[in-house]
Amino acid sequence: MLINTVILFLRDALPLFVLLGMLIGQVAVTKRLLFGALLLGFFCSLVFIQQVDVLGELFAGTGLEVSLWALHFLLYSGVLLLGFGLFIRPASYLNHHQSWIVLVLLVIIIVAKGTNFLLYFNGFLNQQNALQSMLIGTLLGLGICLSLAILLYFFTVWLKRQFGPFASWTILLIFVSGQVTNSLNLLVQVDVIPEGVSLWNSQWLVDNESEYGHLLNVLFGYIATPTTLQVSLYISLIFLPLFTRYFWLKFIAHTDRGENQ
Amino acid sequence: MARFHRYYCLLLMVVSPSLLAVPEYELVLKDHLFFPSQITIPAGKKVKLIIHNQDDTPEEFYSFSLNRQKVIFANSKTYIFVGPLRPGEYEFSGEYNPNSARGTVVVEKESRGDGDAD
Repeated sequence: MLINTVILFLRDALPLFVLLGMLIGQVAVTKRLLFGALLLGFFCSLVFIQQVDVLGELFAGTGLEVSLWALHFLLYSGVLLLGFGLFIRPASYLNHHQSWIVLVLLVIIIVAKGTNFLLYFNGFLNQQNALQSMLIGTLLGLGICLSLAILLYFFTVWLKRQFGPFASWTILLIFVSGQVTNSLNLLVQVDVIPEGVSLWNSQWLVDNESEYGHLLNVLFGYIATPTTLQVSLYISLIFLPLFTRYFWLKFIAHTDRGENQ
Repeated sequence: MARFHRYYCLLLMVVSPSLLAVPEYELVLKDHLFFPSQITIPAGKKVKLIIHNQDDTPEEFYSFSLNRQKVIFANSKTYIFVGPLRPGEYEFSGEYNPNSARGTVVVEKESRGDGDAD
């Protein structure tokens, strides 16, 4: 039970802590907003679990997977909004309310990843013999996740100071793109999209089930045997916003030059 | 919402026509054990795996080699699609009770009917 709890923490809570570290490094948020986000996320997860039967019945029984994938996509959209406010329209309403976007992003990831936890704890808390090992496992898991979140926070702050906010935002973009790409499996397992053929197999290099494989999976969406769809989606999710920003800045520079002449 | 639901179901049928013809296999989870613990499915075919959780606690079906992971609520059932797969053995487990809830999907070239195919 102890090991299971730690593993569950590393698998499901790590993305939440990674996002937390990166977001706090990117955007200045108050403690009040942070606790508010955690509480709201917890409450929304409870509502999500309450409605899970109804969700599961939707869309010919694929509702739960579709909802979870949609949540991951919303997470990606939120990071795009953050980038839009930061780099495309710095004077926009969005940029003045970055901390609210952070709140929404945290709530979304808590619902998407925390549901599993609540089910696990809810199912086993009543077992007297499981309580102690679950609590120790929780403490260990929390310790590991918090350590990584703090490291990522300092890394994001350093990146932002050295190379500007665009660099730290790009790391955030890569992280959420990996999350969306990984969540494609949810749609594959209920046959919404077909199982694709693997493009390559890099298990020999980094095994997906190893510690490094797991960490790389959470940080960048590393998959040892990705399908064509996963690779195309991952590349598009990262490069489309980057190209859009590049061409937008070019367009702005061109327009400014035109006005000056 | 109902209209969207209708369109979505229509889309599902167009996108995955195989949905109507896939063979079904059943797994039962009781006392944190899978029954049968070994299930044989044909190679190169997509199959639907229906998992019944008869325990009072939730469980998460997890298989790295099958690339599948799904929560099954207490006293309920769920399904996942697996395959098409190459011949071989693919292990799965219950993520919340990995020591007891374990099993294998055996993929063979020809279906011999020793699984729980409907």
